[in-house]
Amino acid sequence: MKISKSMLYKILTVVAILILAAVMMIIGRGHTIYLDNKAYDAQSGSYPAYYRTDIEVKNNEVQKLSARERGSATFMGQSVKITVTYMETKNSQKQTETFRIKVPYGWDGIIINLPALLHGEPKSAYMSQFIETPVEPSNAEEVVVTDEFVVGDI
Amino acid sequence: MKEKSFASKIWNLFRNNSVPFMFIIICAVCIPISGFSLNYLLAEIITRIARNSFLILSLLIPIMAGMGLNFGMTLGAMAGEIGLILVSDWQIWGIPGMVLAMIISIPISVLLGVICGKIMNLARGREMITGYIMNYFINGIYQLIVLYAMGAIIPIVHSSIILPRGYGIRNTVSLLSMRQSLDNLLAIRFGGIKIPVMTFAVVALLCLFIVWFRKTKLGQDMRAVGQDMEVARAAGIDVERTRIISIVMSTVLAGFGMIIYLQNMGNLSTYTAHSQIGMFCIAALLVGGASVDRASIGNVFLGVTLFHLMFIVAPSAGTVLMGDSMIGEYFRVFVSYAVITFALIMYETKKRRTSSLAGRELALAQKEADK
Repeated sequence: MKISKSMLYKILTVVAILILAAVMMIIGRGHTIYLDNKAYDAQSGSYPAYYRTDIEVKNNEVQKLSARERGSATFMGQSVKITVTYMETKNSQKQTETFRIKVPYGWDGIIINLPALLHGEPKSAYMSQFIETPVEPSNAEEVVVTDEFVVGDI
Repeated sequence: MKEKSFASKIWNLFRNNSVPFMFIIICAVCIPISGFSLNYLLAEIITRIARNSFLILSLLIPIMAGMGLNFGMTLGAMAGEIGLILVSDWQIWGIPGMVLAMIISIPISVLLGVICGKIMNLARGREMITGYIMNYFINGIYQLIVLYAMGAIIPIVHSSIILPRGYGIRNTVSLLSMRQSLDNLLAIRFGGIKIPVMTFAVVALLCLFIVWFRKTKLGQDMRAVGQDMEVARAAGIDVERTRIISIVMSTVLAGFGMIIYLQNMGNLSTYTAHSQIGMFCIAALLVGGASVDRASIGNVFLGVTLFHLMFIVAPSAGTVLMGDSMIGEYFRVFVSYAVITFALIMYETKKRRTSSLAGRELALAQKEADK
């Protein structure tokens, strides 16, 4: 079967659009990352929370976290660059480490345990999925921003 | 003689542009009464031009093809909304989310456009009322899909989007993850006014596309069909196909326009966002001096400026004059419907006057031939 030139262009256009859609799905996938500065217990060892951590996610400062605190940030894409500046104790020196972490596509929320990450634990140890607790539906009215195209109630 | 001709020229200019002149007068009266600063008005107008222009530009192609004001653009708006709902559930954010929503809207818009175009071909000469009624028909299907199929047949997983009963979409879908992502891209601030450069670039691109399209073979065919269908048919143009293509293009562009519009708003009223959009876009275009059979890019920008200026100042002017902002709010909605009615009456009157003049000329010619 011979494919005409115009049919070939149409097929190529459809393929290009599908590729574009696939790329958009990957680069635009949004995630929320939760960074826990909490003690971590594992078979390989127990790591206490850091006295203080300053965290940057994709070059944007997220939060300064003290021990037992949680910070969060949002980002798009399938990997995230995290820079952690930390002090183990009140009097210790500041140290900085940078990580590039790949995240699973299907996870909306990702919890990263900072002590486990900084001590070189495997991905399965420092990363877990954040599962939202189902919230009872609220009966409160939703505020809707409109373009004043509809006359409101008198 | 020369003076008379000048006066008649002025009169003709006023008569042919009575709607824009009327709006200029309304705005000129309302602006000082409203008490808004020039800076505020300018900022609002720039935002609204960026938000609405793409949608209004989508109306130009069917006018070119002689199909009048495409009330069926609402179908494209529904397709855009379906794209946005799916993208929100898939958690695709920002510009990629917008692009993906546009891609999703294309096949839906094309399908709806083909259906609408075919029906309009069957109802030739009554395209506008057909398109208007089509909205209600397709709106029913849209609501069936969004209210019952989404969640039950089409997977929707996020509790912030789906109704607590497990199927159907909530009344409002938050688009915070893509709110003003296009507007903020390369935006510049000039004297405290934000200018959404990228949105204007997209609108400019569409303007260029329309200018280029008019010169293409298909564009020329559409103009020929718009001028006289029988002559176009005799010239070998597939009139029906050309008309369907014009509606499909308008519907697809309306879908894109709705996505640009909603990214600016930052939320989506699932069941009502599209309901009035066609009406107000058409009103804005007519305010700009367009008519049922003639519209230009200039009409779009003049219309969106004047129409939205009236929208901004009318409630405040109403409050100052009558002590009630609702008066102004009613006034602007009333004016929107009035301007469409006025334009339709003007079009019909002009058409009848032209055909009666042609009839009289023909009768006169026959009389002279008989002599």
